[in-house]
Amino acid sequence: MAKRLVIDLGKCTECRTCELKCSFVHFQVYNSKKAGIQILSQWPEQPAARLCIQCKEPDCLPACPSDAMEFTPERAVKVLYDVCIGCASCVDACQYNGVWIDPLNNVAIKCDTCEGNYRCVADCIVGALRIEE
Amino acid sequence: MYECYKRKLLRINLTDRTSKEEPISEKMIQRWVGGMGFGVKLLTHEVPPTTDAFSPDNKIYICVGPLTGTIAPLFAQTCIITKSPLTTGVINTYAGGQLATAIKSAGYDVIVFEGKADELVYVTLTPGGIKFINCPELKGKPVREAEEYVKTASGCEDMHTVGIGLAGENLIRYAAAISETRAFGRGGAGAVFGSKNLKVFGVAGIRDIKVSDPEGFEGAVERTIAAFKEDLSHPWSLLGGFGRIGTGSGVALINDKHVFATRYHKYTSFEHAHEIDGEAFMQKYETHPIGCQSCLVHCGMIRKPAETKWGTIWTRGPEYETMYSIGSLCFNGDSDMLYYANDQAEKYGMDTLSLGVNVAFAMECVDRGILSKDALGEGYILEFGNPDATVRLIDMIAAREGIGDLLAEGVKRASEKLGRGTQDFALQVKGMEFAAWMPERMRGVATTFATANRGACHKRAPIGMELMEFVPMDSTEGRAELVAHIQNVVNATFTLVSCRFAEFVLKPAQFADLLNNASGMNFTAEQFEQMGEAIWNMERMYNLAAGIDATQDSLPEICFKVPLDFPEGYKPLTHSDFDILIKDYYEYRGWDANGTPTPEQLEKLGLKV
Repeated sequence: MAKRLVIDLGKCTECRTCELKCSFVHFQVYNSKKAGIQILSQWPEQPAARLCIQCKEPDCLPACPSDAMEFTPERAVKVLYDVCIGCASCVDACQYNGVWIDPLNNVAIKCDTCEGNYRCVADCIVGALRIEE
Repeated sequence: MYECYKRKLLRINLTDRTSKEEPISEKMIQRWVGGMGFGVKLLTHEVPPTTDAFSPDNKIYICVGPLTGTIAPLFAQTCIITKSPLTTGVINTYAGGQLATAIKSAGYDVIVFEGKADELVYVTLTPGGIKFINCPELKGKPVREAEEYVKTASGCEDMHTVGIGLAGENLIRYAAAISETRAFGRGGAGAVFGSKNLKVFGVAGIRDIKVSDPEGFEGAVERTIAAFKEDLSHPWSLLGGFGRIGTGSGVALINDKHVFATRYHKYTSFEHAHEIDGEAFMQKYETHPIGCQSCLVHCGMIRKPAETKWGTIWTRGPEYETMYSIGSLCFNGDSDMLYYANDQAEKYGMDTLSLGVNVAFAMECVDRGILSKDALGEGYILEFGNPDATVRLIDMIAAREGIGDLLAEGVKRASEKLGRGTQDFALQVKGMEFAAWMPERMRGVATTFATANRGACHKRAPIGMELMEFVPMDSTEGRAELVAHIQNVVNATFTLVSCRFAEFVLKPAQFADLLNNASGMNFTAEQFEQMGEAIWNMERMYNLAAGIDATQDSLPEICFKVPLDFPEGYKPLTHSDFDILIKDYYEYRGWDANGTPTPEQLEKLGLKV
């Protein structure tokens, strides 16, 4: 099972740097819709987050009708953007809200762990993100 | 080149409910960069200076900048430019949050609202297109409620909004436009929304935000973050205090330094300051700090619902400036009242600075026997330090009820109507009520309040230099250069559109570094600053044509009286000092004795004579 990303929502300041870092690392653009983590404000309560919990037996991958998902060496599920048809079967299959569709390019978006390095973690100024073995 | 721009402006005509896109030229980008630069350039060319701010001919320019929506920290602000109903000049006003990124990801650098809807409307801009929807059901509704309504009705969970409350609808001259608890506070932009029958504008976008040199930009961002982290690592870091307990973190120091205007400038410090400062709010109310897009300061303090005498509410803030205006200036040491009043101001959509000064002005008028202490009716006693009277008067102003109708016009117009010497103590310049800080104490603040294009505004004052006494606060020496420099630099940073706090840490060269890597342009630090100076002069020329002449580069007489607890060893402001400050300032700016930029100066800045 891939290492998991864990977020401490009590610390999160909703700055969404993690989202932009993620879209930049994967697509060289800034676009929250293309980020494998989503921070949701719900004032006055603390925020909520959507992120992949890296299931040992993921439901998303087998649900994909176009073979657009594969395991990385770290055993995270990764989307093959050139193959994905944006049908959202994976979105429906995931019971943890860990995958969604980028409406601009119509492809599935989910966290692939950056080869286990989670590039977002280092940029979180308040240390709300950490990697759990 | 210019990848960080969408290079498009969207003109939304409320009269005929149409919209059209226009390209933004290369020349415009190179010359005016974005944000405030675009807005001021457009307004000064499209809205004649004599236009009434409430006329359908006035326009609202909602502008973002080249760094909007990127990971560069402290560039999440949106800039609104319009003709101010308070000053009658050009106003630039800012709010943070997520709105700016939404506008850019919708595909625009500028959104312009023109004309006037025939009834109250909200406008949405989504990937599905633009919609104009009549909303009589939102009339008088609090901003937060109206925003939620529009988001739900649009079925767009990631929509971001800017809207108005009762104050904007009632054309209170200092009504704010509110974006998800953050206020475009100063200058009455909310009232201009109201004059156009525009209740809420909601925008959601899905587009990518790019930069010209991704690798170079990442490097510039890393250097920027390192600079902020270095600042934040010091216990004295102002921004560090903002992140821990909000902008009210400085109250204790400001109070100790005797620059905390109290009881209508009668005093320079407030005995109850510690009951209404940032620390007091953190201790009393459960708080969750939040940041704007990509911000590492996170100064926004969201408070969990708390019980007050006036009901259970949650709010964001109050900010330092509110602790002064509705707090010390009104001699209010009641944190529950301040908490509630902060929520009232958000609900109605009002600038807490102007609002507090108007409330305090009414109290001062009672003290001087000009207004009756019974002016609020219903048994309320209008007097300093009365929290119930403060809350009541805020309601009356928003509703334009009784004496509230007079104060809804701002202290300049109210004092002109009242007469009896009230103009001498109306805390305003060019119609704009005083921000915190005391011209009596600080010469840079005196110069800034008197000369700022926005009126008595602190946004471009050398406050840190004077407060920390890196320069003597009561000396006229070198003040013109200090003030003009910060006015120019801050104007330039507002083209990006930067949070005001970025300049606490970053130098012009660092701003230019980010801009150049994002856009592919080649600004030097000097060119960047000079662009800010050109905008300053462009605003000045427009304001002069609007009838705001050099006689309004002045301070009310009350600033030349000595507060009762004026600290020893310092000189109070005198008329002769003030004359020197203004004369030096005009000279430094290259303006003539009437405060008009000379043809040579305009030519030097590349502006048409």
